[in-house]
Amino acid sequence: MVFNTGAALLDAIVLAIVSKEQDGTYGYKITQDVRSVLDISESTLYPVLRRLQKDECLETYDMAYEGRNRRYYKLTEKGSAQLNLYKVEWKNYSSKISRLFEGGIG
Amino acid sequence: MDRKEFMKQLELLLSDISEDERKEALDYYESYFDEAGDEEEASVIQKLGSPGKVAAIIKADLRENSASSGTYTENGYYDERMEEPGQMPGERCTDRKERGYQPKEKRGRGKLTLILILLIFLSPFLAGATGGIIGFLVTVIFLPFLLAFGAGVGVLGMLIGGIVMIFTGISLCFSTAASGILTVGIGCIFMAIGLAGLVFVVWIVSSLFPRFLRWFTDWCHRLLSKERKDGKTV
Repeated sequence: MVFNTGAALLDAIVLAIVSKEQDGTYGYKITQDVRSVLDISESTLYPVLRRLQKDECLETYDMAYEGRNRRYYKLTEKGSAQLNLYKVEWKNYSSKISRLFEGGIG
Repeated sequence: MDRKEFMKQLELLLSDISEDERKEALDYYESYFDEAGDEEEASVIQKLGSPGKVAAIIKADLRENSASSGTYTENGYYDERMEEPGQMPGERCTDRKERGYQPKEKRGRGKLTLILILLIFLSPFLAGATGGIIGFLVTVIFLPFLLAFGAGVGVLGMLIGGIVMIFTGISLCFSTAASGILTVGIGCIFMAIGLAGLVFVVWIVSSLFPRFLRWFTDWCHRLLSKERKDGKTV
């Protein structure tokens, strides 16, 4: 991709992907979902998830799956507030750029 | 490199972070391999990159995380990253290796600000100290001039006094000869002392002054060259 993805945008994308699953989703799947939208390194996702978890935007719970433990990530209330904020910011940002690209300024 | 080797190296590389963080990261990547399945093992390793890269990204994020994190305000969750101009595409590279450098830069700037603040607080003392030093230097430089000036005035006084006394003595001779001769004698002594003083002042001006100036300029030279030498060694 020509454009770099900033930390805030990556956070927003991860929050959006996790929010799609009511019961939460797990690290490997999140990574694959992000990679279906963005071309980023797989090792980038762990710190993002860890940070969102520390910021209390995501919560985790463990569930047994095929005889091993699977860690699920779920959006918290704070996380969904943050996602909404990101969505508004993104809309402002992207619509301005689109307007500029497609027509005049303003 | 297989999964076992990858995880072993990652554990080793993460040995300098907290046990909590290390366990969390290792658990994540263990289950990451589990989810991908055995047949994907090689491809996962290839996509993740080297254990060194994985560890570097984790550590860079830990460093940055301790420097800045979001806060919850009445307007919703606030994150200072949101405030950065142009933080959407392009602000940061996809490769997060670069992120670790930012807090370092911040710290450097903080140090500079601290020094500046310290200087501002100390400036009255510094001004006082500088004033004192300059005053002392000026005194040292002008000391010979003051000495010469004082001696010169003294000599001039002696000479004028001597001449006046000789003349009054001569005029006194007509009324009371004894005291008139005494006054002329004292006037002569004054004249002699004055002339000796004149010689002394002339000697100061002609030989002591240049010597002093030479000594002073030498001293300045030495000071400057010493500083230059210090500059080189630093």
